[in-house]
Amino acid sequence: MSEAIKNSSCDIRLKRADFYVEANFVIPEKGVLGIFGHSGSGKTSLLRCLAGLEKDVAGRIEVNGEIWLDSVNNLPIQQRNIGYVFQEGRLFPHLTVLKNLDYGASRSKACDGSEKSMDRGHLLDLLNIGHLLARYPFQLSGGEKQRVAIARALLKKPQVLLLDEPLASLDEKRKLEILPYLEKLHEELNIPMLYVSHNLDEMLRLCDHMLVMKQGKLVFSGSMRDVLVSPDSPLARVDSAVAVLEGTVSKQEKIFDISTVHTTNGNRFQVPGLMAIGKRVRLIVFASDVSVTKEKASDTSILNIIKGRVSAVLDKKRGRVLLQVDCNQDVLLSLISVKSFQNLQLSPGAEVYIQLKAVGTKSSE
Amino acid sequence: MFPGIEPLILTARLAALTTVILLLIGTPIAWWLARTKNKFKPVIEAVVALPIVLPPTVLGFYLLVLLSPQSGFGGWWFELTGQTLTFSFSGLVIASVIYSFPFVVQPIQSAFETVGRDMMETAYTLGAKPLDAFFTVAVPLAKRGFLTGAVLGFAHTLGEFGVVLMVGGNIPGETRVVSIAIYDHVEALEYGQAHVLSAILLTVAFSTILFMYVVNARLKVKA
Repeated sequence: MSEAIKNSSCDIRLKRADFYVEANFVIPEKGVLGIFGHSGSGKTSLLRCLAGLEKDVAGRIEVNGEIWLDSVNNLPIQQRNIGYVFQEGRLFPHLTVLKNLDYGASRSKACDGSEKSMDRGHLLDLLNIGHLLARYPFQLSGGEKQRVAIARALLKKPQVLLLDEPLASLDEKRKLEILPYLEKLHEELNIPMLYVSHNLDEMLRLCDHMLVMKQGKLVFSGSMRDVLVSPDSPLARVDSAVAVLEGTVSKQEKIFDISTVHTTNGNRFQVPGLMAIGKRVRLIVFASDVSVTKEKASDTSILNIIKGRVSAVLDKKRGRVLLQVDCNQDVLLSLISVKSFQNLQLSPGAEVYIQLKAVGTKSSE
Repeated sequence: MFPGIEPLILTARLAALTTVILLLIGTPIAWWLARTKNKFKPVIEAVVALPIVLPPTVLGFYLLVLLSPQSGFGGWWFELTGQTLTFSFSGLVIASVIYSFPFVVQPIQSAFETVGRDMMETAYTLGAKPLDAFFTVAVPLAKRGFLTGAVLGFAHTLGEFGVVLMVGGNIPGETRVVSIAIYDHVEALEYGQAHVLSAILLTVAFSTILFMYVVNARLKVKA
């Protein structure tokens, strides 16, 4: 039976007095499927429909060949083998971490999911929560709570893991702490993850495929790169292969008509035009304006050369590669040819110098 | 034997039995009230709260009418058991349950309201069926409400006077509770006995409430 092709798909319609959600998509066998949209776009409702948390859902849901919803069946939540991680973690405050973890595990039917699931000890190590078992949720930091919530959902040995903005309740620092754990899970889990977020950066780091929701409708679905660069993607125009950084003007050079902008992470960018010192601006850097070198070029016309590290290779298609480069936590994108990519022998972790041909600015206010 | 012991035992039995019955029937009602979106919810809440504001004699009067063998309910009980509900311990229990109803239901209801739908949903996603989730999540999270409800129900029944007098009268060993005994002693100018019983009731009432506050602080579930 493990050889048989087991389909997972979701085609649902949810009608509310003031709201209508409609989506039809295939759930991948593994990997992270991002569900992106602004608040109120219906992305969380979509996840809730899949979990069985919404009433009055019509359509058809099939997971690994098992029908969860069709015109005859509507499997109750308890019988849908899902792991659900809520935005606020929702650990049971009256139970220790250990008992929270056992709550789902002891009620699990562990049918098909079991052979695919991860060993408990390994999971606790991977999420680094083994030392927290005796504590109560109020004794945990926000990031720890979320890691426990993820472990609790996974120990149920689900067939699909649903994550509803698991980082949204955390501050930036904690987010950066927890993202690596999610990335590790991504590498090791053999079940699909559905990741709801309105944060494109998180999505860039985690997702393989993406659905874009707008006003309750699924407006685009495709691979991560398609979403960023396809002409018909709603994100391609706004955010496609663009990095956005926040900074403050720190210096003016009147003779050259150039201002210097400092980002909060300490990087310095020289941008054209004179701007008032102290003014907060947003830097907009197109991936196509960013090139990469292994050695720092000395004789060059390029003003902005910044040291960084390749943090992800997002996609290789049509002869071009989109790289994500982490420059002391300022994340930039670079679109280079596959040929250069191979010549430079780049891979995640490689130290590089990025050269910015152009930087656009936009006043933050 | 100390002469006041009989009303004391009777009162304790009445209060304990009333509290147990109220926890059993009050809990599902409190849960329903905490979760329902029914448009008649305010009406039900008003009915539940009525004994707080209604004069005990008014409540007692209607109960007397309801429980008497001439009424449908009282008559049915009489045919079933051969005993009247009026002027009996059983009738007193029914009257106390109604009289102390809001004191048990309201704290439990508000405790259930703070548990919220979120926690129940979470339990469901972890595979718990509704009843399982109720006992493993809702009840433990609402335990302070249960304690408050039980203590208030017990203490409130201890002090019952008007309703008892209307429904149960003053039958020693059957319906003569402490508050009635004190009234009798005062009427008979037996201030000594009245003092003893009053002091005991005062002590018991104070210790019960104190117990509630001490334990409540410890039961607090930190979020």
